[in-house]
Amino acid sequence: MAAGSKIRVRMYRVGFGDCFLVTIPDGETQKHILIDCGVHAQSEFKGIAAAVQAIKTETQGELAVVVATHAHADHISGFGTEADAFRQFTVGEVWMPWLEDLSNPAAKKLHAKTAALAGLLHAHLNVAGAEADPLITGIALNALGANGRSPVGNNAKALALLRGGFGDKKRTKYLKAGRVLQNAGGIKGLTVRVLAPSDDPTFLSRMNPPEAQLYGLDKNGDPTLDTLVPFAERWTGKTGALDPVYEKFLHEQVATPMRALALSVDNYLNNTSLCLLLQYKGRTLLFPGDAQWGNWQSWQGEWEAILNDIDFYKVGHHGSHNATPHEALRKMTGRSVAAMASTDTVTAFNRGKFPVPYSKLVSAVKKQVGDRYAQSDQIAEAAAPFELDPGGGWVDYLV
Amino acid sequence: MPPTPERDQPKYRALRVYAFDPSRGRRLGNHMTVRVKYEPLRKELKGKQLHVIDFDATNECYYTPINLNSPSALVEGGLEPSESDPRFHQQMVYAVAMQTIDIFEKALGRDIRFSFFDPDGARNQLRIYPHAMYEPNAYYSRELGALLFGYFRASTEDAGTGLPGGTIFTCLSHDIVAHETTHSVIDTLRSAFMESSNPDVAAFHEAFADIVALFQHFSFEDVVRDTLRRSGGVLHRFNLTPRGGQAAASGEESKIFIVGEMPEGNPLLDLARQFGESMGRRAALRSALGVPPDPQALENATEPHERGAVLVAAVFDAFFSAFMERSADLIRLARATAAGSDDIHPDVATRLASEAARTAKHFCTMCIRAIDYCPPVDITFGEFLRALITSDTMLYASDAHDYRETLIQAFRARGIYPDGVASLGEESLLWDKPAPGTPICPGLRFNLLKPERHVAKNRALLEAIVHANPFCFGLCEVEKHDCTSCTCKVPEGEQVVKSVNTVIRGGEQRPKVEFVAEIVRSVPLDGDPDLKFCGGSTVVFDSDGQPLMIVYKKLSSKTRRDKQKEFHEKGLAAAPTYVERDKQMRLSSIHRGY
Repeated sequence: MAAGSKIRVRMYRVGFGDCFLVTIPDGETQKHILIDCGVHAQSEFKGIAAAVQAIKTETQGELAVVVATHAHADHISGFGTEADAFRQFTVGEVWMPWLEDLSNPAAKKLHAKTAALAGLLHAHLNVAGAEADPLITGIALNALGANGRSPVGNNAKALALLRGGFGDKKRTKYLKAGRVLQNAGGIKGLTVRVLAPSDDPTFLSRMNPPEAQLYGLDKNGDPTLDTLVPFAERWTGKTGALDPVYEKFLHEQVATPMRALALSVDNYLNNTSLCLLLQYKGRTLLFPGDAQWGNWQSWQGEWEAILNDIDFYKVGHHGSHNATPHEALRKMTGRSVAAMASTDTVTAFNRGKFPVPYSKLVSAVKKQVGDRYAQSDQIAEAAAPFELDPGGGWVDYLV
Repeated sequence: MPPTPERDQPKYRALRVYAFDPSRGRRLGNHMTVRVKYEPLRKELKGKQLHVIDFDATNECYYTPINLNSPSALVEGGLEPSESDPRFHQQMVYAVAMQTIDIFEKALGRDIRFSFFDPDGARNQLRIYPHAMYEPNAYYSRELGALLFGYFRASTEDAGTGLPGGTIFTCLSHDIVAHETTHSVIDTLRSAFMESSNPDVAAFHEAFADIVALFQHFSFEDVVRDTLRRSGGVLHRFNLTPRGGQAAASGEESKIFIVGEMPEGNPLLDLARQFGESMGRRAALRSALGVPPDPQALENATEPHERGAVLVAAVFDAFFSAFMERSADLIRLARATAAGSDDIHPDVATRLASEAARTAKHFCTMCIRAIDYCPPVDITFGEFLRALITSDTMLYASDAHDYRETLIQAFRARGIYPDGVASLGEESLLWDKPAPGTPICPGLRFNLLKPERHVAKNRALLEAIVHANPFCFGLCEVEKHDCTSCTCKVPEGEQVVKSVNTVIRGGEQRPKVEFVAEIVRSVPLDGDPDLKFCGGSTVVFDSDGQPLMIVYKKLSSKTRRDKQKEFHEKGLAAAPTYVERDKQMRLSSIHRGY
């Protein structure tokens, strides 16, 4: 129970993904905001079903607001796999980034482009089979929510529920940077400022995913499976100046277009993240989704004013190396700022150069917030000021 | 073929290239023949400094190599520009890279000597892979000792003036080839400039590569002449008058346009236009110029390209000002005869073009010469200005064309100031005279015709002197030591003299020979094995070994150490977030395109 007039942030242990329940006192009762509900297909620990049941009990099936920060499986998968359970909820409003609004022409265009690229990744995986690069696999699964041969995965199902506003389209609000919601979600005294994504052309041009054609899609967006031999066959030969061993070495060294493509899709989706600042009775909470540099940069001018006195930071992108700018972190100088990261070190894609969570980032966050840091996969270690579910399903923090 | 006696060898090899890239087609001057230094080539394109290998690492195949010794190639200046024949591509990368190297060699008065290490040994050739990968990118890689050029499909939605979906070759862009080659040459001249120790280092690399590529435009005689005619002699104007004279009528009556009437961008100011347009950006990739001076711009820019653009703009502001100054008389003469018209007489255009080419060459040479006078590590833009002023003053005591003053003003307008100088007067910008007690280094030798002959001996000589006096050369690690109290030692056997180069001073006086030495040592930065803190000095000796000037980057400087630490902590060294710090910058990742 939220004590007195404090805001409670509950982080569910879902594995590699995000699922946060923010509870705000409202007179004698409480109002709940669910921020994301998803887990990565490759996360070994999967706690979504249990989390959704727990949320149902906790909220008695009433959510003032459901927020889907961006369309990655590790943030929305629960709205697909647990769609039946969610349909029994009463949902006041759904908030999504304006880049998911398909009635907006600019958003629609970017969306179509990304979908085509993700489809190309999926086609590539089907061909590559077991030899697929684990990084590409991880990214493709996350972008599609797919786990099999069909590119239409669970993400599509989840997005249908979200866009459909849990039964009434009108409940879904697509938010854009600059928007300020007073008494947001019908919660008295709650102000929500939308910091990102912006519709500023500079930001959008940086966001713009590469053109599919650069990576081997045909005009209809169908994959041509990524080949381009730039010259007629009579010009090509199999032997030349290099030693065959060195040829192999070069082949491995020179990044393949698929990997570059995968990363660009991942960056794009992360940067569509809805970045929200919740303000309630003098307390401020920052939920940046999985925003990466471009997204943060779009509101860099406000860092100074905003970050200095936030009380809570949801660590971006599960504590990855590329989602919390150093300077932003250093500006979080509030006396009792706390941070929570929902993550899992055990994932199939985690053998790369930048494992998530990234140890150097975690130590930087700890340096900034002291012992007011909790990590979902080390939930048992959480001590005061955190409060722990005896069953290990969640950890609470009172702001 | 019997060996040819050296004097019978030709001096140059004529080769055809695109002046810009294939997107300009046969438009005036785009098909161009350049003359590169002659060197005997065998069947493969492997010379003293370059080795063109047409291996495609994506498709794992080779493309037919060109034979530049074939009679037709020798007579006709190689193959005619063609997008579909890979052999022309090889010819073009070779020619443009050779040209770029030649610009450096002429400016420095010595050969550029590459040296790379492969698993199976050392080599002296920079490799060039004109079709290395299917990717919209091109970069220099020190680890591979190579320039890698990618190819890709143009955007089908918005390919600018190009063919939607057509194949784009980065190796056919003169600018891209010159840019990447410059990276490799700078890395050879100053390897520590790949250690990103402050926000200017990576930016300097990028900016310099753009500067060299852009200055080459002004040697394309036909294009420059045409631009001058269509801009009324104003080289830096962005839009050129259409060939037919007046720009498309402003009146309502004319609704029909033909292509020839549309104003056209000034090709001299664009970088890699085709590449930029193919990526759907509707513009040249980085038109470095044309942003009005803003002294604050530098403070706000952290990304290497953004910062680099400020330096490029400063150098070109100075260049254009100097050109206007030098050509003012010609322009006045032209106006006197044809008042009120923008279109200038072809003869005047020719004279102006040669004036522009000469001024461009002067500026490019000044910039390149300045590299020898830069501090050996941790370069900042302000220090580059000091190096520019110093190297030019050493050469020309008087500043007949006011180049130095123009440069100082241009840098100031862009907010580039050196630290720790009393004023922006020329004299305050010169590097300091060495403190009394700086040891002399007698016995340095030179050979004007074969400058490389004494390099090893000179290095050994200076190495011994530096080891005996580490303090005097910036290698003492303790603050507040002085010549008499310092007992610091450089570990026995550690090489700290990176280079000793012979510099010939001609200019107005009798030619003189000087030596410029680069002394560097690196230590771990606060015990972090990932991080290096580099220090040392650049010293200029006269022919007797008397030190004339010294630039310190002291290993004892706490300020510099703290600044570098902060820079790394902020993570700006690589990216704004928590990316692992590579030991060196990876140009491929900061390049984002090329």
